[in-house]
Amino acid sequence: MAPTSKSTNPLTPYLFVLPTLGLLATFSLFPLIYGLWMSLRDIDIVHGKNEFVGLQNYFGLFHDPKFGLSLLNTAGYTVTVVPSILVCSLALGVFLRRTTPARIFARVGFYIPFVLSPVVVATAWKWLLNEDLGVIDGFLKWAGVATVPWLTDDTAARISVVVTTVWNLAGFYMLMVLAGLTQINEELYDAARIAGANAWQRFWCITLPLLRPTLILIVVLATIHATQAFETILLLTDGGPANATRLVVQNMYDSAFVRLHPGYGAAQSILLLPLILFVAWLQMRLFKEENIL
Amino acid sequence: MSLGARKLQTIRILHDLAAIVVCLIFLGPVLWAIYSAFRPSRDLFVFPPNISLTGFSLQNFRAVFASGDVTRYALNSLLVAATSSIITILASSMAGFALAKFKFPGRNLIFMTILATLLIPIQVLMVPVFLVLKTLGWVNQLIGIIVPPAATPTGTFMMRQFIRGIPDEMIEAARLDGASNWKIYRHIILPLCAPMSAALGIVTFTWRWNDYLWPLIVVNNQDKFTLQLALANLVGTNTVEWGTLLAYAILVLVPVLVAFLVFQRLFLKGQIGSAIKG
Repeated sequence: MAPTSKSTNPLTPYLFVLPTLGLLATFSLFPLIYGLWMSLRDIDIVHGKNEFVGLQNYFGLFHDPKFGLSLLNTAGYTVTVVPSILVCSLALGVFLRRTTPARIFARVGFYIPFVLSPVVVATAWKWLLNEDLGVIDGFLKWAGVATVPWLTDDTAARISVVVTTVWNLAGFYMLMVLAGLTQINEELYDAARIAGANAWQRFWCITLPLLRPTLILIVVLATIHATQAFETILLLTDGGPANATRLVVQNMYDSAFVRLHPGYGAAQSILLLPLILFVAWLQMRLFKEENIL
Repeated sequence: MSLGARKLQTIRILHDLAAIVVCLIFLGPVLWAIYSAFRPSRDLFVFPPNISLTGFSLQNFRAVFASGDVTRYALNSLLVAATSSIITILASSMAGFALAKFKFPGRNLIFMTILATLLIPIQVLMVPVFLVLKTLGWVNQLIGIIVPPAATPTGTFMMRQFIRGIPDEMIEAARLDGASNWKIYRHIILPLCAPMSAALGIVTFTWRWNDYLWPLIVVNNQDKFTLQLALANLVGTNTVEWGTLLAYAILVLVPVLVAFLVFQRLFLKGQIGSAIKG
C-alpha cells in the first residue's frame, strides 16, 4: 500500500472511484430500489397512469396463467439444460485433456459457439431447424425417417431450445472442466494404472471425485444461466408454439415492454430475486469453501 | 520403438483425429452457414449438401448491401462497442488505481459495494433502467446503449489486482518530482496497465458488439439500430430469404470470430470473457 503523502488532497481517491461508483449507482443500485418501488405501483405508460396499489401486482401474478406457465417452463428448461451441460462439458474436458496440437485446436473450436452473439446463434439454428426444408429435416428425409416440426411442435420446440442452449454454452463449461483437470495430480493416475485400474475405473475413482468442486460450480453457474435465458429463445421460437417455450424473463419483458405495464414486469423480477440471490449466495459460499476465489 | 509404445502412439493419433472430427461436426451449424452464405439460394435447403468447389457466388452479400442501411448499422455497432470499451477501460483503471494505491475511509465498503452489484441479475434491472434512461432522455439514443453497462465490477477488480503489482516506489518517485495524482495516473498507471487494458478492451468490445438485450430495450428507431438488432429484426419478419439472412449473420459474426481466433489465448486462459459478461 502506497503511503500517501500528506500534501495530496484527501478527496483524490474518491474522485478516481467516482466514474465507476456513479455509473453503478445510477444503473444498478438505484434501479434495484426503483424496481422494488415500481412493483408496488400500477404504471401504464400508454395512458400515463402511475398509482400506488400495494401488493396488487404480486397478487395478480398468482392468478396469471401465463406467468405460472413461464415459471413451469423455466423449471423444465433448467432441469434439462443443466445436466446436459454438465455431461457434455465433462465429456469434452476429459476427451480433450491432453495438450496435443489437435486437441488444442478442438478446444478452440468447441469454444467458438460461446463467442457468437445470441442473434447469430438463433439465425443459424432457425435455418437448420426449419420444418421440412431445413438441413436437419433434410438429413432425416435422406435417412428415410419422418421429418420433425422442430419449432412448431410443443415437445420438439422445447428440445430444440435445449439443444441450441447446450451447443451454445458447452465449450465455455468445458474450459472450466479443463481448468479443474489441471489441478489433479498425474501421479494418482500412474499409481492407479500400476494397481491395475482400467480407464473407466480411473475416471470414476479419481477424476470424478477430485473434480467435484468444479462440477458443483458448473451446476450453479449453469443454473443461473438457465434462469436468465431469454434472447436466443425469443428469436428462435418467440416463446411459442402456444407458449411452450415461454420462459420467465420473456414473460417479464413482454409485460413491461410489449404490453407496457412496467410495474407488473418489475413485480415478476422482484418475486424471482430471492431465488436468484439464494443461488448466488450458494455460489459465493462454494467459492469460499473450495478456495476458488 | 517397442510394440506397446507403437500401439500407444496409434491410439493417440486416432484420439487426435477423433477430436478434430467431433469438433468439426459440432461446428457444423456455423461452417454450414458460412458455406451456404456463399452459395446461390437454390442450394440452401438441399440435402445431402451440394458440395462443389465451383458455383460460389456473392449474390447473398449483394442482397444484404442492397437491402438497406447495413453500413449505418455497422457504424452504430462499432461506435457502441468502441466507446463503451473505452469508458470501461478508463473507469476501471481509475477506480482500480484508487482502490489499490490509496488508503482512505470507506475504501473497503466501496470495493465491496462495487463487487456486490455483480449479484444483481440483469432481468431485475431491465425495467427500472429503461425508466431511468427515459428520464435522462436517452431512450432511442446510442448513448443509452453505451453508458448503462459501461462500469463493470469485474473490470474494476481485475484492474485493482493488476495495479497492486505496480511498485509503490515508482509512484513515490513521481510524487517527489511534484507530479499530481492525475499526472501519475495518466503517465505511469495507464501506460503500465496497457496489457490489462488491451485484454479488458478486446473482451468488452466483443461482448458489446454481440449485445442484443440492451439495444432491444433502449432502441426502436431504425436509425439507431445496431447490426444485432437489424439482423434480429430480419430473422423475426423475413423467413423466406434465408440466403440473405445467412450472409447477414456472417457479416455480423466475422469481426468477433476474427478477434476470438487472433486473441484466443486471452479468451481461453482466464475466465475474463465470462466474468465480464456477468
